[in-house]
Amino acid sequence: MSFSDRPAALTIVGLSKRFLLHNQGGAELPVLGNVGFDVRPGECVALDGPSGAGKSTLLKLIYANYRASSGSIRVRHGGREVDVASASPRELLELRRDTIGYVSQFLRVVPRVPAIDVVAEPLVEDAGGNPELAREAQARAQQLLLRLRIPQRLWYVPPATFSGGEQQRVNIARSFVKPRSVLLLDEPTASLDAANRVTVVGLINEARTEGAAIVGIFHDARVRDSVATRTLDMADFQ
Amino acid sequence: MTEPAHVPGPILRVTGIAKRFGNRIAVDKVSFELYAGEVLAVVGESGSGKTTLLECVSARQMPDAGRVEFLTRHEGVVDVYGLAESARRLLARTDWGYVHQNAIEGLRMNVSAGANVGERLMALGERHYGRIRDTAAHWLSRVEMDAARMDDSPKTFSGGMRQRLQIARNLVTQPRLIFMDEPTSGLDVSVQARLLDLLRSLTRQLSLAAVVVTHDLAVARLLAHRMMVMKDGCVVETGLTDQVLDDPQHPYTQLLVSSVLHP
Repeated sequence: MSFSDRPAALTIVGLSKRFLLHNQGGAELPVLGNVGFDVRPGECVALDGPSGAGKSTLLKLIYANYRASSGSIRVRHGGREVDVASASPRELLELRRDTIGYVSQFLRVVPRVPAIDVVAEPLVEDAGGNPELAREAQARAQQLLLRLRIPQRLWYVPPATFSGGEQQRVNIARSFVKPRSVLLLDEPTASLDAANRVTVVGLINEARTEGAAIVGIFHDARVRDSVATRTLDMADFQ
Repeated sequence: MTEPAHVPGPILRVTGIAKRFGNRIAVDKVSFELYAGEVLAVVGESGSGKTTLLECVSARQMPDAGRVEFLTRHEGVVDVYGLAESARRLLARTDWGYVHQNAIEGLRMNVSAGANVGERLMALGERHYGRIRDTAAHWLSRVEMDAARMDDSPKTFSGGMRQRLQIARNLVTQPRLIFMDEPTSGLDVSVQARLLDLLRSLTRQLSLAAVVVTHDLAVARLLAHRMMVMKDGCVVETGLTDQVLDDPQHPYTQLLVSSVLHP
């Protein structure tokens, strides 16, 4: 399937980010400048550059976790475009709920919530108390946990005590449980073994062929080569 | 943001709330909006005015200036301070909840746990003993309390249990907005975690809007969608919770965030 005739899912224009550290004598850290690119449905763009080049910062800006110093980050959301850099908190929450997914390197553990509920939560929230939809959410979470080789005995345990690799897989399952049109991946395979790496590559490619626009950081060259449709050099954004 | 016609407005709109004690300004013209199901954390150090703001917004303390508007279930938007006092009290007892930092302030310590929960129902005119008891039992179980403790006095309860009882007492009238003042402070860490998880799932399952005053940034991170940072009675920064904590802009917020120990 080709999506090349569809409008860009993500359009970044003139984006810059500097950190102003008031309590360090007003030190200013310019991290990104002059960022501009767009990503169409079905594309996977790999960010390339050494550590400290601002790759993770760029993903965090797109997710609105960091605030842009200048420029715009337009995301296609339903039938319209929303500028992440100027959207209201409510719009941002809506974008995160329905359109933008973000896989960080680490799972933020909520005390006492079992792994399967962590994974199902994005769908359960959509279910709004409808028991049938809630059951479907659980079933979909189970499929992903199985596919990512989380042993069944761990499903009903909170992931706080899991290994780094297990936590990362729970995090990936949570991020893929609901389809999103823009996916941001920060080293999604960093602490995974070979078999799970292949599974995650499969999940990414499935999302892409279904029309997701993906921006990712992939240090592992094999992973990058098997998912990326093009590469952006961070040196262009300084 | 332009609203499509079918989207209802905010459940709570606070405009220009101000309160002074003598010469000291406690709250200086604070405004915010809250939508159904949204949890807002108000953070700041002691003396920043966050509790006074909460009391002014929840009609527990008369502000010197400002408006509080609330979207009621049946009568549209009401100006809370424009209501007669009896109507304001009824609103605060039914559609709102208020969870005190110290459970003793929110409970009646000389009646049983079940009576604490049932009381608000009786205030709404419910007289059927069996129904009151069943409803109380239901809400006690929602806050993970053993129904066998229903006839015990809260004096015999631990701090965590008292806090859960206070929450059940608030939820029994199915409010749509709940105010919480430092709901987890003063509790042991393990008890805090359980209470936080309970609050997090209850606000989500019941689609409750909440204003949570806390000095604990971890509590804000876990519970709140949005955050408001107060200093000297003013709001110095607002945003999504993770934005404010991960990319603080104001010097005071930067200081606050960088002062937290990460175990």
